[in-house]
Amino acid sequence: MDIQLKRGLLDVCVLAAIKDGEAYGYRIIKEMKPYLEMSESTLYTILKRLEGAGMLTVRTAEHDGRLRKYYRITDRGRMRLAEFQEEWKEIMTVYRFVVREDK
Amino acid sequence: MKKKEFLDALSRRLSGLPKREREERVNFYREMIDDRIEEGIPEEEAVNGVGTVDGIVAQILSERPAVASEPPKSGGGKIGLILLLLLGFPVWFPILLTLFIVVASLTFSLFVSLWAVEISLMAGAVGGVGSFFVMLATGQFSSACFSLGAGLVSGGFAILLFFGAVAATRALWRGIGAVCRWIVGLFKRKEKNNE
Repeated sequence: MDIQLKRGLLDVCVLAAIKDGEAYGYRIIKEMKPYLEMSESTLYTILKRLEGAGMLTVRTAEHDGRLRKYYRITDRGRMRLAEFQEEWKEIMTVYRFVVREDK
Repeated sequence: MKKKEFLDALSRRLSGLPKREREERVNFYREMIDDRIEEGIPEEEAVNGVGTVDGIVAQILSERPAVASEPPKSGGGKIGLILLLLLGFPVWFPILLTLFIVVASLTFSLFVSLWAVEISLMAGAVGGVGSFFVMLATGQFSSACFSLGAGLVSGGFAILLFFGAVAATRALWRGIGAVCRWIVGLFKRKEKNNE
């Protein structure tokens, strides 16, 4: 898959993984696993990028005697998900054109 | 590999990163391993699950091209600027020269006009007073009075304008001096930089 396309998809997938409530890193990876394989390094980079873009917030909380980071989607993050859905409609239109059967 | 061993090795390999970023990354992997262990995965398997130290370092380096690549040499920009100046010479030099000539001729014509008016007023004053005596001697009393009046008015304006003209001359002189010093300063600075 094209690197730029995959990068955009991964960002949206991470946002989708936390859209129903805050989640920690390992849970995000597990939720995405059936759809898209992602390494920890990649997830770290994406989380930092989304945090920098104001699409998610991070809080650190104690869990079972250790610290764990929780990620929560922001309004801007939800807006990005909505944008993605609109963009995807356009991509599907192009896709149908590309794969149409020869006359 | 055990968790501590893995995290220590990762921390050592990331020693080139700023301390805060290094700690943040190491803590991220610690959390990932702990979450796997909490799920019941054996420690070594949990460590293997997050990848190898080499793989993680390689990925971090690939995501940091600005840090990994060598910073551009300071001379590069200067050479580029010199090349740009040389190549653009046919364009910028005529424009600069025209601008200089226009400004210089405007300043010069204003300066000359000012002193021409001053000299005319002075001449008017001398002529007016001179005519007064000539006309008085020939008995043209009313014309003599008019000439004296006109001469005195011209003289008054000449005195007023004289101070203005002197001030303008001084300002122009100072301006020329400042421009010359600026041009000489440009060359001196270049010499200093080349040393």
